[in-house]
Amino acid sequence: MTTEEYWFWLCNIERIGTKKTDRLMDVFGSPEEIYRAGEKQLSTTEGITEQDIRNIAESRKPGYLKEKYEYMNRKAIQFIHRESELFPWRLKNLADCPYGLFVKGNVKGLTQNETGGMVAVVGARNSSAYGNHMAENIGFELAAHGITIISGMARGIDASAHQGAVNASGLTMAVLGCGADICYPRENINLYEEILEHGVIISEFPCKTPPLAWQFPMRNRIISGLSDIVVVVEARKKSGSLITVEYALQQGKDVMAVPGRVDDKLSEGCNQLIREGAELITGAKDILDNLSIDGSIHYCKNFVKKNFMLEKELESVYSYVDLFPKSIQTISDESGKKPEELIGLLIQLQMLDLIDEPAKNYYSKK
Amino acid sequence: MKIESDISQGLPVFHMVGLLSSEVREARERVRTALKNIGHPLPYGRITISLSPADRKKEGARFDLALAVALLASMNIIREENIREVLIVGELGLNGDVKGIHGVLPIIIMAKQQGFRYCMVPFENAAEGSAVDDIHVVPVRNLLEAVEYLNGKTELFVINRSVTGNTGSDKILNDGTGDMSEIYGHTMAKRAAAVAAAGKHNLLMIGPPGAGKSMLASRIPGIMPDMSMEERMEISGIHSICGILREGGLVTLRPFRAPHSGITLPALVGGGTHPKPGELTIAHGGVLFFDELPEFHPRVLDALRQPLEEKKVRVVRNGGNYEFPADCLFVGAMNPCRCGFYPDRNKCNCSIADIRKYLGRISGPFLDRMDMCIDVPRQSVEALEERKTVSVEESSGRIKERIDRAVQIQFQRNNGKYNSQLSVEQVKKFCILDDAGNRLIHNAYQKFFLSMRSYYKIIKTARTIADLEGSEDISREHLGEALGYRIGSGKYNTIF
Repeated sequence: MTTEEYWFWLCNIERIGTKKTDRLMDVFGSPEEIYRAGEKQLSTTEGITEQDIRNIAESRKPGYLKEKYEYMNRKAIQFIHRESELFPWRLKNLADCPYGLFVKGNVKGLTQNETGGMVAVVGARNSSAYGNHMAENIGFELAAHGITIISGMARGIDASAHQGAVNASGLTMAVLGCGADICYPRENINLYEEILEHGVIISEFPCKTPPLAWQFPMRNRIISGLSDIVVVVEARKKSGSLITVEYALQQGKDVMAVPGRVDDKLSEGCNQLIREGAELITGAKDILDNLSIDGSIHYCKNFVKKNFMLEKELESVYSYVDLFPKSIQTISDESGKKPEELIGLLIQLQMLDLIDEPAKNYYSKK
Repeated sequence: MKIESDISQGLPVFHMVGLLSSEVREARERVRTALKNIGHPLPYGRITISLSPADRKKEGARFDLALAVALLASMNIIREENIREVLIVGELGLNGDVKGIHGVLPIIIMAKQQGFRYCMVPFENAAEGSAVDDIHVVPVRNLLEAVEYLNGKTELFVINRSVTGNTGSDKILNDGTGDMSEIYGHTMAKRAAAVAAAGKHNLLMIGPPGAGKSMLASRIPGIMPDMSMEERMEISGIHSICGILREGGLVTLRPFRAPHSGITLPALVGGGTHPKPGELTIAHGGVLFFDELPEFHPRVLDALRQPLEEKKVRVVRNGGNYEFPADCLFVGAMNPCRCGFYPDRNKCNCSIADIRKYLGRISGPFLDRMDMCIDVPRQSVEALEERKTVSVEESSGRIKERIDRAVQIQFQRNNGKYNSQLSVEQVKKFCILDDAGNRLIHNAYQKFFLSMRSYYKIIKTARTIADLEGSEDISREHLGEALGYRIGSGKYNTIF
């Protein structure tokens, strides 16, 4: 077996994760030595149970690796390990750096912006229309400026950030908490495909690993580890995104947060972060400034003022529409316009792509 | 139904023939006892009663009175020629009292059509009888009264419409269901309700719990145009059969039926070996309201599809095919998600997948039958207070005036059809759009991924809006408003 194969073997043993591999590596020094180690030697290693030894023995059986390897190839997934050239050096600095990564898509993209220009955008799964809007805009604008957008491809903010980057045909990187061959959640299947067009999907977990709850906080260290800046768009008080922030702070990364209204539960986490010293940002430009990139050019169509040629009536209705979705009734109460007049005008604005209808008869600015 | 009776010599038996169900067979005991108790005990002899036609199943207790009268005729207590042109219905008590029955009104109508001159009905049902012209309706309290009347001894109070009219019952218009002016705010929902009522467009309301959806729905019958006499007769007949016709004769207000979400299929479309009309038919001419739409069994919802299109419901049973009218305005209400508060993320933590799942309980083809869909949001306290103090709410009566006008315009143009019932050819003929309107609908067709069906529904709704505004042409504004009421095939589901 080649060194590569030994590494592949090491990262494909069932129930042997980073921590146990750490112990084994401490004792044996290289994957090859671990492979050659006898049962007795293994059993003296601290933290290795009998079940682990059985799993290791199982993985040594002929055919085991071949099957895994062929499956991986069939799914167009590549394996890179700590000592590969392509392995991101940023991760090597992590205390609990993964031993291997399973990469699908544009492998070169993994290290493309390593000199500076990788931004993680994370946030709530059940996000608001406002959060999605902000995440998508930031994703779009940053990606258009050549920055890699890193996130976890979860529902809500993650997906919106990826979507923004995809819409800008930019580079985006999704770090999954399950095997790279599995699209979780299922509904993001279109996004999964779109990310692969230019970007990468990576996972430290071998193929076919199901999405288990404990794996998701773990992958967050890779999200923050890969990035220069972690941007939190919407987070509740006890959000999983705050775990990513923890990691980012440990790893010495900048943390930025998009503020929300004081009484919005979905922004409590963000506002808390800002109070604790995270940088407050109101758009992609603040991030670009931080990265010393000229952010004066707006690529994102949504940032360009589009209401310059609106009829007076439309303009006045548009001024009542917010980033937060409002019902027609509310707009009518606020503007004093009759609903029957208002509805048609809102439809016109919608046709002009100026406003969005996130729920029936609720409208928000795009 | 014809009843013949014969008393002949022989062993004392009491036979009844003619495919009788057990309630009719039990009539034997009621009739025998009632006759004894009014002083005309049955003679000892062989009594045979035949109900014809012999091949039709007879059900119900409404034959009692007629059976008793037939027997009395055989006993020569009532002269036979006196009962020739009389139709008799009613249930008997053991003491000879005549009790009320269901379905008197359609029976009288039928009697009139078949050329009967008199119709003897239980006193309780007298008011129903008063609704029909050109037939003498004789209400009786007990068997003795019936005998005396038939023998010409007493001149009973014979009623028909010219005597009582319907003046007494017309006054109670609008009771129970309330007035639109009791709903504060919700201008948008009220507007949509007016459009729905004017063009008979099926309406789906989405909103958080307690926003006022049910309140609004129950007030829709009150703004629908008045019923014609034929309609009242038809609806009253249905209600009479179902035993829900209130005292006082004909229905005065369009029906509002809000069955619970646990309703079964037979209860909705009509069921039984000899089917009785279901909720769908009871709501004929009025509003059928389904609250908590996703809680209804999918089979029940999908069963609505065909009746909503055809305006009638066909039930096939062993005994034959039955067709019931079902021309009602369907109004549905539902929450936007399981907790009911989406898109208010402070209250709603439903994931998009959850929301999709919740909305997905309603099938696409069913939604396609809805003409209009609106959001009924929770009103802010400020808006409520403000409106309460100014009292600016329009009354049902005022709204109805507009709707009456719109309906008149529609009927004149569409040959008595509501806009929602127009065929594609008629849409092309009556709903002509100008250039701006055409551009708008074409853009919308692409932008909102409209189906062909919803395309026409939007144009029909726009037609109704134009009629409400008294405008002959459909303007871009009318069309824009109709687009706002569409069932979108948006991001998450066919609803949003």
